[in-house]
Amino acid sequence: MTDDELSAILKIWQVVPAPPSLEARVLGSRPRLALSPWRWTAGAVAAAAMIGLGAWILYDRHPAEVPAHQRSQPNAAEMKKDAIPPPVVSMPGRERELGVPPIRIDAKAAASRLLNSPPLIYPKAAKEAGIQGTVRLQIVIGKDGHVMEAMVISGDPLLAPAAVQVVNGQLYRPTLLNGQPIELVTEVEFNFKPL
Amino acid sequence: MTDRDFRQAFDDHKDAVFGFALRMTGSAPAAEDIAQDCFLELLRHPDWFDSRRVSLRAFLLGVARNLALRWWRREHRLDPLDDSVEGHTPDIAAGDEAEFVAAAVQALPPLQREAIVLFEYEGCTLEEIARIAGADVGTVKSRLHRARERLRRALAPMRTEARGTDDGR
Repeated sequence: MTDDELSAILKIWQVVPAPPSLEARVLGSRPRLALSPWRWTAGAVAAAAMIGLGAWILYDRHPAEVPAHQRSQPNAAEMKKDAIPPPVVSMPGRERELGVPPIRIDAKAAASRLLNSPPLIYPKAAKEAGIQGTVRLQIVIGKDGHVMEAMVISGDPLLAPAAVQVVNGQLYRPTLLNGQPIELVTEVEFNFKPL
Repeated sequence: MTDRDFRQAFDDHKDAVFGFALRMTGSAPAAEDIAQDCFLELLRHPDWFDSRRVSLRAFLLGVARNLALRWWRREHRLDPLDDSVEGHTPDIAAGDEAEFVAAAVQALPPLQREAIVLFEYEGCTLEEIARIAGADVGTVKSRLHRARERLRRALAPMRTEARGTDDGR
């Protein structure tokens, strides 16, 4: 059998085109490209608020005017005393739709759906203060696979913003229920240990 | 990448990506998952695509290829990716010709299968396949050669049947 004869035989097998459901799954997963200008503005304001909150937390512990070598080591008990658990953080530019509540899945199932995650960066201030430990977050994964909301369940306030920053960049495989994309809620943990 | 560019990319390449994934996996739900993830990767990382180095089609097929191999590894953890596994040869009497060809292609080891699918069905050149598969052209030629040898053996009954029909006239 020549190569040409083989090619002709192989061409007998034709596959169907992409199903319409693929279009719904893919084109329904691009909210950040389709955002209207006012949503971009709302997202920018939320981002600025998050940065401000993070800067306030860091500045509160390490005022910029004190050189690093002159700083006294922060007292862990003192820091815990005024640690206020951050509220639910909505990710900039992502808004949840009201209606069906998200379906809870366990951390292992969520991990198996994780497609992409930025690296976890140990905050310099926490490292200098010798703070380590685990941050637990409850996150809501949107229909498009991006994290829409994060809530700190436990963890040091100096470490939590870094964990929130990671989930903000995560992408999960969208989940379908009866052919419709759904929101999920789960818990994730981040361990901060100095090298 | 603008919203319009992404829409255009999806419309232009969805059938190629889905078809490639379907031929690689033999499963429509898996192919749909792979095609979805493939376009999500483009959406998430548009900067990974460099039009000076590779066409968008080849880029998407490359992403789909990696996802399909990941799927295959998950489904067939104990089987090697290349060679040494003699796949199941279907019985031509059991189904129609297209099914027979499909079964023969899907019985190939994945790396040979991707070479033959990209070359025969997606019309890729050897250089494009090498770029998509992350291999050199010589390796791709070798995989194609081995795939063809295996397919010749598996599909020989079709040729015999055709000849028998001709002789009977």
